[in-house]
Order: sequence, then C-alpha cells, then structure tokens
Amino acid sequence: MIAIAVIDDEPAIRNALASALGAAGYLVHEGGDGPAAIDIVATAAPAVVVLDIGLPGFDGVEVVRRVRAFSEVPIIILSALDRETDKIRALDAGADDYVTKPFSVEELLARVRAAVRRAESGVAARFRIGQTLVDLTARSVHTAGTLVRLTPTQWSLLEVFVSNPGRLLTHRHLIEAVWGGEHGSESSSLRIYVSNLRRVLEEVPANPRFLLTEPGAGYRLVGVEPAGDL
Amino acid sequence: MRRSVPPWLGVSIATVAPLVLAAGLTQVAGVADQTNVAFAFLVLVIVSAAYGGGAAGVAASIVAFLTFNYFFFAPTRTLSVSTRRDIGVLIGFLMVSLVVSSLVARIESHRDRAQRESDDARLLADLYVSLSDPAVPGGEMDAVAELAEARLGFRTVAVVRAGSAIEILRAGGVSDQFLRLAIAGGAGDAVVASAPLRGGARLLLIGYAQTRLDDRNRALLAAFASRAAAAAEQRAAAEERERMAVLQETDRQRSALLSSVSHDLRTPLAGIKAAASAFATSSSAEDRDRLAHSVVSEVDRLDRMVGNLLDLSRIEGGILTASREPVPVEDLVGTVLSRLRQSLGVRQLTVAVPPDLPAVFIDFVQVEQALTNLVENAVQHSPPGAGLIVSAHARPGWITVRVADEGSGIAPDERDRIFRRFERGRRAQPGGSGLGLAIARAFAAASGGSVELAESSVGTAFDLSLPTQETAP
Repeated sequence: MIAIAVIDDEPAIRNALASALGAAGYLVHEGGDGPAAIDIVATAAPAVVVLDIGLPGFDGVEVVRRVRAFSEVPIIILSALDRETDKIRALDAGADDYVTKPFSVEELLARVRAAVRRAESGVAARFRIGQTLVDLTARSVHTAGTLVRLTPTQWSLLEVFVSNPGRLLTHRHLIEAVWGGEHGSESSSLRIYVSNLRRVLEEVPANPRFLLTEPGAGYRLVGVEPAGDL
Repeated sequence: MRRSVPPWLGVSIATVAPLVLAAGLTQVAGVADQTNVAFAFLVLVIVSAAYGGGAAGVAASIVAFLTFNYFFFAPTRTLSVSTRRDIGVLIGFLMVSLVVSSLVARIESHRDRAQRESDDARLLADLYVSLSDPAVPGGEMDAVAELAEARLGFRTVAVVRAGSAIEILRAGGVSDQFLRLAIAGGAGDAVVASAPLRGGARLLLIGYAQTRLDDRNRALLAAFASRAAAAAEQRAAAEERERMAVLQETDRQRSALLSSVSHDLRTPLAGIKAAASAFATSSSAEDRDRLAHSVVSEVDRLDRMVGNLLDLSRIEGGILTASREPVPVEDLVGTVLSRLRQSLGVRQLTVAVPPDLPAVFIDFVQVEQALTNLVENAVQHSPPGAGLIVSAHARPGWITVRVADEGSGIAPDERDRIFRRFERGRRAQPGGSGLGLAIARAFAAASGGSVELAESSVGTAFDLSLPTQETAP
C-alpha cells in the first residue's frame, strides 16, 4: 500500500483528504503542524507529502527545507491565494508542485498520482508529446515526422521539461538548469525561449495543450508519454 | 478732489495775496474807492477759503483787514484810523469776511468728505467683488493685495498669516527677512494692517509705499485686512465642508460596498448550506451526485468572488505595483485559455494570434488576471454553444487583444457604467459580482494598458490594449 502524508492544521481539510485518499487506496498519515510533518516523513517514509503552508510550529516552507536535508520525497504544497510569495519560496526550497485552495479532490488526486509515477519511473529515452517525438539519446526532435532544428539552449530547456514530465518547474529551477547558477535576470529571456519551444510543440501556440504557464510560478510540460522505437 | 493745495501752501498764498492785490489796486487811481476795494478783498477771501480751507480763509481775512486799513483808510500808510465810522466799516469788513470764509470752507470740506466717502465706498465695493470672484480660484489674497497696490498707492503689498508660526501667503516680491522685520515692528517704511483670524492667529497686510501715505490710506488698508481675513475664514470653512463631504461619500461607498459584498457572499453560502444539509438526509445516489455537484459549483462561485475582492482590495489599497517585463502575447493568451479550459466547455473557440507579434511590456500576473476576467465575462454572458474569438493585432507601440463573444451584448446607455465596481449590465446572467471588468481595467492600467468596449455587430467585444515598450502607466 502506498503511504501518503497529509499535513494541514485544518481538521476539515485533513478529514476530507483522508477520506478521499483512503477511498483511492492510499494509506494516509495525518499531521497538524511542522514538527509532526518531519516526524512522519522520517518514520513512515511516505511516497508523497501533501503539505499546507500556514502551519503552527514552523511553516510549510521550513518543513520543505528540513525534509530536503534528508529526503527526496515528492512534496505537493497546498497554497492559499494570499500566500503567493510563500508558495514560490516553498517551490524554490524544493517542493515539487502546488494546488491552490480551494481545490477539488480530483485535482489533488491527479497531482498525487503524477508524483507517485514520477518517483517510480526511471527516465526513459524517448517521449511523445502530442505530434512531437523527442529522443534524448539521439538528441533529436521530430514533429509530424519532420526533423526540427533546435538551438543548444532550446535543447537543454526541452531536456529539463521532458525529464520532469508533469512537474511544475519554477523560473529559478529552469534558469539554473539551463544557464547555470550565476544568472539572476534571465526570466524574460526564459519567456522568449519557452515561447519558441511552444511553437515546436503546440499546434496553436496561443492555446497550448502541453507546455503550460503557471502564472507567477513557472512552467509545466504535460501530456508526456514514453515512446517505443519508431 | 478739488482741494489739491496742501494746507501750509494755502495759508501762505492767502497771506501774501491781499498784499499783492492791495499793491495792484493802489496803482489804479480813481477805481480804488473803499467799496470796490472791499469787494475785491472779499472775493479774494472766498477764493482762499474755497481752495485753501478754513485756515487760509482766516489768514486772508486778517491780512485783508490790516492791508485795507493800512492803504485805504486815512491816515493812509498807518494802522491808525481817524474816524469812528471808519472803525465801524473796518470791523464790519473783518466780521463779514471771517463769516463768509468759514461758511465757504465748511461747504467745501463737506463736499470733500462726501467725495472721499463715496470714493472709499466704491473702493470697498470693488474689493468685495474681487474677493467674491477672484481671477484665480483660491486667489483671494492676491486679489486684495493687487487692489491695494492699484488703488491705495502701495508699491507692493504682502499678505502674511501670523499664528504660532509665520506663514507667508503672498510675498509680493519682498524678502522673507524684511517681512519678518516688518511684522516685528522694526521696518519703519512698512505699513502693517492686521485683522484677527479664528484660533488666535492674525492676518497681516504689509504695504510698502513710494511716498508717505496719509491716514486715510492706512485706514483703508486696515479695512482691506479685515475683508481679507473674512475671505480667508470663508475659504477655510468651504474647504472644511468639502473635506467633510468627501469623507461622507467615502463612508457611504464603503458601507454600500460592505452590504453588497455581504449579500453577494451570502447567496452562494445559502446554496451550499442547503445542498450540504440535503446531502446528509438524501438516500438516492442520483440526488447525492446532483447535490455534491451544486456544492462544488457554488464554492467555485464563492472562490471567484473572494479572488475578485482580494484583487479589488489590492487595487483600492493603492499598493498595486506592476513588475513589468517583456511577455510574448502568445504566452499571455495561452495561459489564460489553458487555465479556463474547463469553463470554456463546448464553446466554439477561435484563437487568432499572429506568430510574429512583438512582446508586450507588462506585469504578467496582473494582466493575465485582466484577460482572464474578460474571457470569463464573455463565457458568463453568452450561451454555452456560442462562439468565442480571442484575437490579437499590432499597431505601432501597441498590441490589442480582442475578446469577442456572441452573447446578448451591452445596451448603449450602459457602456460606461459596466466598468464601475459592483455594476452589472441589465442583460447579464445572474451570478457575477460586478467586479471583473473594473479589476481588468485597473490591472491593465497598472501596466500602462487599457480595456475598452469595442464596436461589434454581434454580442460584445472588449479590447485589451498593451504597450510593447516601457511606458509610464
């Protein structure tokens, strides 16, 4: 049975999540504050942590920091509209994803499933994204059978996205992964590169299906499927 | 004014004139009998009194009396008189000339005073007019000072409010230091007129004149000061009333907002409460599905409302700062459409964004919210199967994103009203908060852009115009 940690100080949210996750076949560990979160992660080794930001004791951002010191467990943040900056801080501290309160259980379950899958599956070599086929070993991209030429920067950006399918990647994460740690003000050129990449991947770039913008947070590549041989 | 001769000059002329006249008359032999001479002297006395005033009249009378005696009464060239009759004539002449000169002088002085009073009245009337309708709004003090300069003979007039501190309302070209000296009483050439203001302060008019001024002008400056003080008080009172009116209006708006918000929040809450309590007692699975669905959709509505209120409070709180950066228009449109994919449902969506548009220079999060509100507005006000077009086109310096629906449209008389907070069109579907468009407009404006209603033959179209360069919002 896959274990999930649910950390929130609101009993109503904990109850609802425990019942929904239980019904979906997960084993749920509940906690109501920061120290409890650390205990549960350390002792129960959950597959995914669902973590509220506003917690008594120490807050969710601090929990992410402390957990990352000893565990790579996927962390999904529960964030409220008025804690946007905390959400970004938690993501930059190493959280994997976020869901904004109020959220629907289906939405959260989908994120949990994606996180579990990411943690379990190794990195494949070939992926299909809609009409586009990406081969990480051959470093090639084909759209509808035609070879597409990418610049080295575009290629490394695409590589980061396909290696983290469905995962929210913050601006900082992408900039560090593509340009290295020293660049601070690349976020507007990141926009341009993402926009260019969208023209490769999307049928209608102004109505994207795969490479999605999370306003104020970052980007997410969805609909990535492992592909066999051509 | 007729009397232009200063008193000392009048008296001098009146003293010399009879001597000159007598000298002249003695040269004309034959004409100079006593009766003619007496008339000539009397005329001289009247003229002196008329132009030189009472003192000149008296002086002329006495000198004429002595000269008359000296030259025309035997023994001539002496002040002695030979007969009783001559003494009577001379005394009579003196009495008549004194009485006539004093009468003339009194008439003249009455006339002068009447003239002066009517001049003063006209001046004060002019002052009143210029105070009640100053050339520049709030320019009452300038009006007083300018009138004093033009009509009271001052070179310049300064206006100062002396309370716990000295506040110079009009320097009139006089240095701060000089004004302070004049207020302290140490500048001899300044004329200071003062009038009390409420709260123990005083309004001072400080006049500087080229020549020495008479008492009348000083008195008039004092009258000017008290009129100016009254005007200053009136203006302060009017400003206070205006401030109160603004406060009351803000208060009224705030309580209208509160009651509107409470009502708007209660409506979905009532739906949730009803559905949730029915859920607990309901036994059929079909009913439970329906109730659960209605709770979720009411919560979504509540969530949108709270989101709008949060946006509104950021806008109203004046803490709205746009962190602007170049954003590809495709990214902006794409983010909004992917976020709203679920609520777009089965709508016929057409997206027309040319690939090579220049980037817009905006705060991404705020403008994304603005465009989201426009698209949500279109979705809310048009039937589910209807078409929705999101297009973009460029003109120099700007990109315009148009959101056009096939809904019921907006009545012509509502075209301005719909952008106000809590205002909703008459044809609007129930469920909105009346905040979406107001927020869209405020967020677009913070990035230097705008939201306008566009001309459209079917339904409604909004244009979101965004700058491609760094422009001041």
